[in-house]
Amino acid sequence: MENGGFYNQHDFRTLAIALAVWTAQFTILWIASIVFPAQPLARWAALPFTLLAVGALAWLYLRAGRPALLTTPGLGLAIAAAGTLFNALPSLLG
Amino acid sequence: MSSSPLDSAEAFAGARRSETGFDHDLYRQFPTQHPRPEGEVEELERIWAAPKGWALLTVVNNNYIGFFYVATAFLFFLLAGVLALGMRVQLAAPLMDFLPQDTYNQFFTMHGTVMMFLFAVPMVEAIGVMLLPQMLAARDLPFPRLSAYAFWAYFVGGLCFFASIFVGLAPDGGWFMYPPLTSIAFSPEINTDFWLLGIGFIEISAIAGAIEIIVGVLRTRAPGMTLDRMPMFAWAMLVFAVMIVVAFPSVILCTLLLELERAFNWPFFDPTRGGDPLLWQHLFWFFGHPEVYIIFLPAAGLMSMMVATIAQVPLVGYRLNVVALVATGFISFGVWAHHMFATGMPRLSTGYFSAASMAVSLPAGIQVFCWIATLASGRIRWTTPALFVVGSIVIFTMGGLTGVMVAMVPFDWQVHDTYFIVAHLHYVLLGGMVFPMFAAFYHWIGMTSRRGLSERLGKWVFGLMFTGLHVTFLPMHLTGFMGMPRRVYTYLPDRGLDTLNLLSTLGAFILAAGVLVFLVDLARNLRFTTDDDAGNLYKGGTLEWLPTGLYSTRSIPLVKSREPLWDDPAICKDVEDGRYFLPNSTTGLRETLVTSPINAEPQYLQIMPGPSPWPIGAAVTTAGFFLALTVQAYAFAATSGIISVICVLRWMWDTDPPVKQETAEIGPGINVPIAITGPQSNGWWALNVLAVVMGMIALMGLFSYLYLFGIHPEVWIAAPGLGQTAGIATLLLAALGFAWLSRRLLASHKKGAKPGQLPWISCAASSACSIAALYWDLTGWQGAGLAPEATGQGATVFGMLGYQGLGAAIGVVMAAYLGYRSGRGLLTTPRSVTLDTVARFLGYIAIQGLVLSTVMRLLPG
Amino acid sequence: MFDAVWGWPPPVLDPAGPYAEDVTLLAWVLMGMALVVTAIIIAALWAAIKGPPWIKEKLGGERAVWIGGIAFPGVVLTALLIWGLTLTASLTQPITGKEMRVRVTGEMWWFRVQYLDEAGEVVMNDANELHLPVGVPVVLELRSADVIHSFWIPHLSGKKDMVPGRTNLLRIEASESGRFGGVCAEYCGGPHALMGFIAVAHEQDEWQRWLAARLQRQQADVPLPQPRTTPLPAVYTDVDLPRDSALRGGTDWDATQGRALFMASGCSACHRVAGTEANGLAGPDLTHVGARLSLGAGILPNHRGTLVGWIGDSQSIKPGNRMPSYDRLSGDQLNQIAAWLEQQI
Repeated sequence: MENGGFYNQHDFRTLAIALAVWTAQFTILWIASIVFPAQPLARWAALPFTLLAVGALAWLYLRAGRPALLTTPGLGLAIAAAGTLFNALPSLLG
Repeated sequence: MSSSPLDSAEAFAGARRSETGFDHDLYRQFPTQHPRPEGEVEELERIWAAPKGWALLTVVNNNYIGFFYVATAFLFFLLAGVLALGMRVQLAAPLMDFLPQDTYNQFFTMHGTVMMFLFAVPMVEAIGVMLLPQMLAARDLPFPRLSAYAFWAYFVGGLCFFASIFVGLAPDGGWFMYPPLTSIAFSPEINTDFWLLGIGFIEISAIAGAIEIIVGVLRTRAPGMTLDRMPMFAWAMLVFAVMIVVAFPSVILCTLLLELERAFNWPFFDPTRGGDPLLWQHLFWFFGHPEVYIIFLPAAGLMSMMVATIAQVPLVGYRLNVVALVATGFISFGVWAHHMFATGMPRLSTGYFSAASMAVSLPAGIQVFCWIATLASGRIRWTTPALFVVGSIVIFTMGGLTGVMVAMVPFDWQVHDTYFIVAHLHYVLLGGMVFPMFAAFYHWIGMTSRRGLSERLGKWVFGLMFTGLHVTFLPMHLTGFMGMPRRVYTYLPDRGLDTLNLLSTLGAFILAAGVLVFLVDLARNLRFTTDDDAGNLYKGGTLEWLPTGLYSTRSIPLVKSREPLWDDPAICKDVEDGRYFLPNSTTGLRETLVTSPINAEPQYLQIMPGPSPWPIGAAVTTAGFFLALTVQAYAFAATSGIISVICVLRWMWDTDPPVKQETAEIGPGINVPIAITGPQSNGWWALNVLAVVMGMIALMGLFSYLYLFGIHPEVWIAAPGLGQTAGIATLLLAALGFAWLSRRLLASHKKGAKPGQLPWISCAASSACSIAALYWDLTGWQGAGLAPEATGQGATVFGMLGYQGLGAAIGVVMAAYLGYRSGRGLLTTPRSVTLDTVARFLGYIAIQGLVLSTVMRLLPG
Repeated sequence: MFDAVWGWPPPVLDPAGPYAEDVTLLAWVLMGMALVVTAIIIAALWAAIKGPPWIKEKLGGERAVWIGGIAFPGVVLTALLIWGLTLTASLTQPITGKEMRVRVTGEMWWFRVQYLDEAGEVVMNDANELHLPVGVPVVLELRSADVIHSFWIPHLSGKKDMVPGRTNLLRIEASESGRFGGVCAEYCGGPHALMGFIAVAHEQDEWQRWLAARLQRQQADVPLPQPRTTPLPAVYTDVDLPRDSALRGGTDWDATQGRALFMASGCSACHRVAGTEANGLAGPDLTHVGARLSLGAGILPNHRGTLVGWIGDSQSIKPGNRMPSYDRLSGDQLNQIAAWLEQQI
């Protein structure tokens, strides 16, 4: 596993899957909020899906060999994790 | 200047793993030492010569098409700008009578529509068509006829669309055209139809361009130009093109739905029959928000390159900048409903979109700081491009900050749909795209003109435009706070808005004066040329500054760094002397090099097409088809459409020619194949992109179906029985099977053997199965009592089946074309690009049909 | 004319109720943030271009990008988001059932106002004007009869769209008495620019009086005009007569004629005046038009001149609106209709 390179095919796969996990978490949270508009169910549902997403990203991190932050997979995972958590703030506070 | 792990340069020879098996040691022989034979340059000139006189209309070379494209987009900028001046005169004082109500409503709709659809996206695409091949040292874009088609469709269609304002038929529902205002009940005239069908072919144009750019950026770079060494504009255009492919289908779908509603009364947006006006808003803004980043990101890529050249140092934070581009593009798809905060969305929903809208500003900030850091690590020379670049950083920052402000829901609830938003959007668009565009004009004019533009006049242009912008739009923040809503043709005298509006009008004329000075400069100094250009006026370091002719560079260089001209002062002469790849034409035809996506290792030689009348013929007749439909001249539309299809088929006929020569020598001891089939071929990639586009339309259609069910479940009726569904699914699986089978059948023949009839018959069978499945599906729903004009369910089901029908009909035409080609003995064995394309398209149609039919029948259950 | 309904200070920064006060504070903080960050960027640009070498070195590396482009914005954006989310929550609390209820329906190009009781039944109809008591939360049920409109009183709260097929709820509350302007804030075609209204907040005791008078008026038959006891000035069409002037309403004869003309000219097909045979629902309810602060949906002051002008030629004032110009009526006839309408308070 080459660090620091855009050259290893795995780099892009990890990046793509990390972004896909983030997309899935956002989509599920959003759909829950419009399918259950006035009910607290949407809010309660957000938490387990967020944890699931973070877990998936953590598993991805391990599977990719704990890449350093300043690599394609590392940055992709960091952005996806930050985004997932930031995304979840409205369900805690909103 | 500090270096970081992210920016460490790497030696190229041997240190990198090969992506394709290409031996990197072969690179060591460049630049070659032996002088090139006589006559190579003359032959390149002859092969690439442009047609003369009227035949110039058939040109496909990016130097010409790119220039036409930029000029047309700039023309639309001027036209929409004149509309804005008219609007500002009308608003200079309360209750003015300069533009009556209806005219003003058409003016502001056209101003927005023309600026967004006919200027902004085409301009950045046009700059890409002009500059990208040069930046990548490719001889042209991968599908030159496709870009010619895209341009001419845009040219003819756009001008006809704009002309509607002269006959009072311009649309007047706002550039975003919300139903029910734009439904037939409240907009019975054809103005709305003009908008719907008018931007239809612009959508086609954009997608064609996107396909071109994705394949171009990933497959036609100079050898050695790894992804890590690509010019920032190439990265930006790659993100731009992917965003177009994902976002435009949404607006294609919603315009299609609104036209179906208006023409056939199918109630997608009519709440009394199970539709919902907000469905339009979701579909439109899912496109509309990425659209503004589609406009901004290429300009940001240009900014990054210009900043580096202005400071005469490499861009600081290259990889962070790339990450910022990708992150902006990605996150921008999750913010669309911030345009809908006031529509009564659930509060939690608004929270999610608020969070995403705040997050999207972060990568933009990264780019701004990369630019500041680059300026800090170099020494600025105050040329006109430098003024525009620095000015645009300030303007864009201000606009971005008001954007963060309106990302906050309670604040947006106050300023939404007021002049505060008008101020915000103009700051980000002018600062993020228009000013960089003017900077780019000055910066890159040397590539296309015998003379550069005037530095003296340029400073006046900047001064007037910068001042005019602030005088116009800064007061609008306050006007919005004073309560002035948007899209108003006048305002009342007792609201305290008089002075502020007059100020804005004055500012608009100052801004216009700046543009006028620019036009004067252009008239005095722009002299179009393809080989005698003014050159590297601002001392840039990237490949577009290599000496070029109509054939682009004499030889395609080996790239070892991000700024090859700075790192290797001899490169210009070496390229000119033919000391690199492909210093001649190996086949006597137009050629360019296709390289691998990541490491840019040479893979094969692509034969490029020369001038052809079929793309312009297809484009004009496509535009004619859409415009005739708008004015309900159905016979003319049908004729035009048929001729268009014939032109496209005739154009296709010239593709995938049997090639006698097997390999070509592109450098000493380096031989690559000439024709290629399978997943490496450009045609394969193009179809993949098209499949994404069509798949996104289908996905948006399914979203519409499920969304309407969620809003109005009471109008839903039960689907036909499961047996019928299973039968339809089986037919579609058979269609998929036949498509796959056809490729296997062809591959079972040895190279050069005659393939026989079976492969194309298999394709025909696939097409027939898809048609039969569709027919069964439609009649089944009709039997179950579903009518398209009765309910939202009917409208979406029949709408999506109609869309499937369109694809299946194209499949029939393609299968017939394949049969004809097969009959003429033009299918190569064991693989054929034509068969691959047709079979994979038919396979896609089968999958699309499977998903659409089964989801609409099984859900909601 | 409109007594500080609009104007300075800017309504968004001049809150008159609890649902606008916190938003105004947010607006000031956001503006401050925007100014500070703009200043920082301009300063950074200046320093990068013209600054001494040690500053240029600090700004010239990737560290500057990490701090300025990632760390600093990340903190600020998170803090702002947290504030924004909590503020949004406080502005959209669930309905308790103790609020006053008013249904406002957006039409092209005016606002239909209906006051509701606790059960949701309509007790009073009006148009283009909203009256509310100070200190009492009001829940507006926002609907649309045709296209998407939007309801916005910047002094009192943010806006909410009126979408056909839906009912959107908006909470407002006035904490001080006064008059506040409102507009339609979603392009609805035609004269969208001239679609507005006025909100009036009453102190508690005044509110009780107003409400009682209104309800009584809604239920009573319209009395015949009373005989005059004082002489009229020579020109009783003086346009600046205040609304409560005893001289309004013209002569007894004029008002009676006016009522007859109103019914005969087809006005009753679209307009309703409680207690008369006029029961049209397509246009604004005119039961209280004499007391209304504005005409034409918040765009004209209400006096004899504008009333006559509106009835006679509304298409010139608000082109495209759904009321035809009654230019076939003579000046005297228009004055008579206006005289009768002025009595409908």
